[in-house]
Amino acid sequence: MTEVTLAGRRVLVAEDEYMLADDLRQALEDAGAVVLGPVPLLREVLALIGEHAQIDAAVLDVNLCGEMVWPAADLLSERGVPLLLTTGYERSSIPGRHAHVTRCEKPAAPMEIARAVARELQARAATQLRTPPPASPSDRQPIA
Amino acid sequence: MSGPAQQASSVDDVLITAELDRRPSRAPDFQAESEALRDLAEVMANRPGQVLQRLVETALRLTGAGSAGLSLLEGDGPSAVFRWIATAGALAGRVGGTMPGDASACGLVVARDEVLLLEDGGRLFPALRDVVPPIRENLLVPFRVGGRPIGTLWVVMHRPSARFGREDSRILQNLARFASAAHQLVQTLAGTQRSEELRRIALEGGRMAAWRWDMRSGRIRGDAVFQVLWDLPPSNDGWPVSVFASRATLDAPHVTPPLFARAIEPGEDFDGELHVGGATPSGRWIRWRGRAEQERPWIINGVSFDITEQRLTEDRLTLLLQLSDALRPLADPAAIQGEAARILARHLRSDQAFYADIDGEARLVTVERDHAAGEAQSLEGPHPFGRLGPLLEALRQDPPVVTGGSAALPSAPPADGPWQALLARSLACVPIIKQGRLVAAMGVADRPARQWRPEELALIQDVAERAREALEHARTGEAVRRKNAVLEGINRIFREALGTRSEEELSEICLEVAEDITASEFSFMGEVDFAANRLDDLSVSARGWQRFAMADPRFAKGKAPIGFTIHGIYGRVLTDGRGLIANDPANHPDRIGLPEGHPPLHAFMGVPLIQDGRVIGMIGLANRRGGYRPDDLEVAQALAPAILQALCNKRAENALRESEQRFKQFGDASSDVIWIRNARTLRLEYLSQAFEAVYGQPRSALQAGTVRDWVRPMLAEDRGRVLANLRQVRQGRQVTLEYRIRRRSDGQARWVRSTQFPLLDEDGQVQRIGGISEDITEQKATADRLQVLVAELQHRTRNLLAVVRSLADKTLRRSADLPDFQARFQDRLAALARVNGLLSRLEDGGRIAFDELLRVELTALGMLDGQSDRVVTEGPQGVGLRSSTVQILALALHELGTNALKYGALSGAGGQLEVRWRLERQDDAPQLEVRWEERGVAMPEPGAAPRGGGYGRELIERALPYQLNARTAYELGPDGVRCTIMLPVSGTLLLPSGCGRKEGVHD
Repeated sequence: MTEVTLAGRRVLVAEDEYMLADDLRQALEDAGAVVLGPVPLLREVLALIGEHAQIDAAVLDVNLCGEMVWPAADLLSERGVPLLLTTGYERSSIPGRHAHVTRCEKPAAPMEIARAVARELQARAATQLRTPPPASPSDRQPIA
Repeated sequence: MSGPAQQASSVDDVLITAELDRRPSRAPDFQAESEALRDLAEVMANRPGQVLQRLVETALRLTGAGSAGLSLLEGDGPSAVFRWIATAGALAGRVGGTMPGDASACGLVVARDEVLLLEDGGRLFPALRDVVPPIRENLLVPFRVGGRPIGTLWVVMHRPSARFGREDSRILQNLARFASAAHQLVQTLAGTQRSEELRRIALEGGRMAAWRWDMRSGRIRGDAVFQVLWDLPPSNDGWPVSVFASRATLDAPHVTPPLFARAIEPGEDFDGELHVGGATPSGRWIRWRGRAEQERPWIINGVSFDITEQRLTEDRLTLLLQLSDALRPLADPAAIQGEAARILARHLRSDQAFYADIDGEARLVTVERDHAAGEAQSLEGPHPFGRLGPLLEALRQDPPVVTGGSAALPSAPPADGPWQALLARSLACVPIIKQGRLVAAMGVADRPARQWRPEELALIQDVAERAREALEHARTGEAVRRKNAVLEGINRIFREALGTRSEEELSEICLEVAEDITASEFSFMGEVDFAANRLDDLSVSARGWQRFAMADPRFAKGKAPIGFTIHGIYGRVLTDGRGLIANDPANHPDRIGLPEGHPPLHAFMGVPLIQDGRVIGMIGLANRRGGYRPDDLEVAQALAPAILQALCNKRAENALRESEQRFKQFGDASSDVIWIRNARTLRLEYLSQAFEAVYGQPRSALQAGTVRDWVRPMLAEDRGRVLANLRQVRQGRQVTLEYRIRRRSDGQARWVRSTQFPLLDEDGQVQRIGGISEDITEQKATADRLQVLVAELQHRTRNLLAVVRSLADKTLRRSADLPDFQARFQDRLAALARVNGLLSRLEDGGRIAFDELLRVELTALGMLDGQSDRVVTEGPQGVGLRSSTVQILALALHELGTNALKYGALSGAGGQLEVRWRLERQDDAPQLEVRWEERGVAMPEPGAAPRGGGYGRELIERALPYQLNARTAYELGPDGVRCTIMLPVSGTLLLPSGCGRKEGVHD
């Protein structure tokens, strides 16, 4: 596997489990990203979004201490920020408007998630360069 | 003249006698009949010559006929004719005329000696053809003298529409009987008159006797005729009065005036009648007429003549009139028998008389009521043929049976009981034979010395005939009454059935009705238990209970006795499935005797209760006075099916009521709403109690039971669906649907699940619609909650796996080698497993106390074993931890403990560990403060790498604040680790809450 590079990318991380949050931060930073967060509460995610004009990507745990992350996901989608959802839930509990978002089902390795973020950003870049080709179905497959 | 339309070829073409029984008959007018007979008797007494004319006029009036007449046979052989002795009505002018002796209606009647009804008799008898006005119907009865038909009494209808009936026939027969007596009287009187007129001739001819009675000398002298009349020996100076007194029949004192013991006034007329014995068996009646001389009043001159014939005829007429008057008002056969016997006995001056019905089929002789005075034994009751001894056979020979004096019956076979006593007396008994069969007998008995005279036998015969006629009439009436009584009884049973609750009550009423109609003393009813082959569930009538005094505990009053073996006489009814009468139960072949305390049984009648051809029980009736007759059996058999029907109805009704009750109890006990609607009208027929709880309104709110009322509480958007489904059910499909209602009591919206199904009738048509509805609001909420729980479990499990992965990564990174990794990782995994074990044992909303968590962890590490002096834990028990905080806190404690064991307070001698905690309030939020202090530990140089990899410290300093919003301090003191954790311990109790809210942890 090639080295993942997210050099200078600003990646927002929302995760309520300290150990996972810390691992993910570590992995993203190892890949060169600037991590916004991690934060464990929805309130704090919303605050981060408000604070940072530039967010290149976001890794969001669906359930943050019992609160669903959708308001934050909505805001980020509106801003065109590529999203990655980490979740222990079934697909059925994802609302329709976020059904297309790439999901990393727990327990996903932090490095896998970092890679997925990188892919997401590459895909986005590709869409912005050319006429956006329909994403291949495999892109939508859950990682892990 | 309107002659008959066609000629008749045979007698059968004109005879319609059988019609009499088919035509509706008017009720007898006894009043008019009685008056007519009195009138006739009076005419006969005063103007005997006119009595026959008055008779036919009476017949005309009482039958409403167009003409009436009396014809008598004159002459013999081919030249014989019927002369019309008396006529009345349209044919009155033809009196004195004649009809042929053979080819006439009268000839037919005399030949057959029976009542006949002819229709258009002219078709067969030419002599009738030219009669004007024409004869449409002709009713004739034989006119008998001395038991032999010698003429006819007849009535005629001339109008085509007029008809004779059974009642006319009865009246005519009655009049004919009277006419017979009257005719003989007229004949006798004519004879007497003639002899009076020809006194002298008669004197000479020896028929009238002259006598002279000297009362001073006490002697009577008479001529030769007198001597013959009295059967006296010749004498010149007469005979003493005592001779005459001794010859007068002693047994006739009431008709023999004391002629010989009274003073006679001068010039007084002397007149009297005497009965005397003599050469003839019947003796003679003699009339005395004379006058006392003026000068010598002790001398009476007179004549005597024989008036036997006249006397006997009058006697017979008196008796028949008396009997008619006495029997007419009686309807009860027993009363008729009793009265006829009483009158006959009185008339013949005897102390015993009886009338007996003889039933050749049942081989029974039955006397319902007799007359027995003095030493005479009553014959009342039913008697088997054998008991009568030789009498029965003698009666079959037809002529009257006479015993006493020299007459005797053969001694074999021997008679029994009262019959034996009867035959020991002087008996006169006449048989009544109909169509060649002995059907009845009437008898009179007296002291053995009495001898019976022929005219007495004739009287008995007369009375017997009259009694039989009255009995038949009464029995016809009785049959009608009995039928009415049966109908009334059935009526009563069904009427009472409406009002009674229990089968037992109804059974008693049924038995009472059966007892009433059959005149029984008591009765019972029982049902066959086929499994046990016993007679069970006995009902005993109220009258029965009064008579039972049995020691058997099975006969506790009012308690249905059970378990009777099927045997004995009653068993015969059940095994044969036929009704039976046992009027002599003690000698019945099936007898088994009576249990002690059972009332005496004189007569028994049993009828089976039959259902679908199977004998399922029986009714037993007992002790009808005089025994049971076939008629009673008929009545009981007519009643039995009605009783069975009524009881079955009652049983079905009770079963239905019970089943309804059960259904109602079931419906009311159910928490589901159960309802039933009529499929056609859709009206509600049943609605269970639960409706009130589910819909929050009383059932009375749906009083009208319409569908509109039903859908009203439903949310508007659900109503259409509900109605569409109802249509489906109506077409025979079952549906289950859910809809919402607004509960009336609190306005809450509730979910209702309703299963609706068609209820079909016998033809498979939807007759009703049933529904079972339940409030599933809670169920739905539970299902939702379960879904959340399952999702939560997924979330937690996956998170836990992620934590394990992270733990493995971290441990691996900080391990020296693989065995080191294995030991550390297994330790941490065990800690994780322990805390998850604790969590999984929690009930919903439960809490793990801090002291428990600490104890479990320290115990697992072996830190509490025998080290109480080195490890101090102190703090309040039961401080509840939020479950979301427990896992990470446990890991932190585990790391602290592991470090203390390996490098700290418990790694060497002399070290001490104190863990103290307390509950604190900060800004009104409860906080748990935990202090972990180690002492007496040789600490490494400052700046050295942390021992144990520093994972514990990381958890305390970074993880707890990040994840639990805790405030922590971790310090390496001079002689050990000191750590403080301030942890929020309150907040909402729900599962997904309770996370910390410290600012994000950054590097």
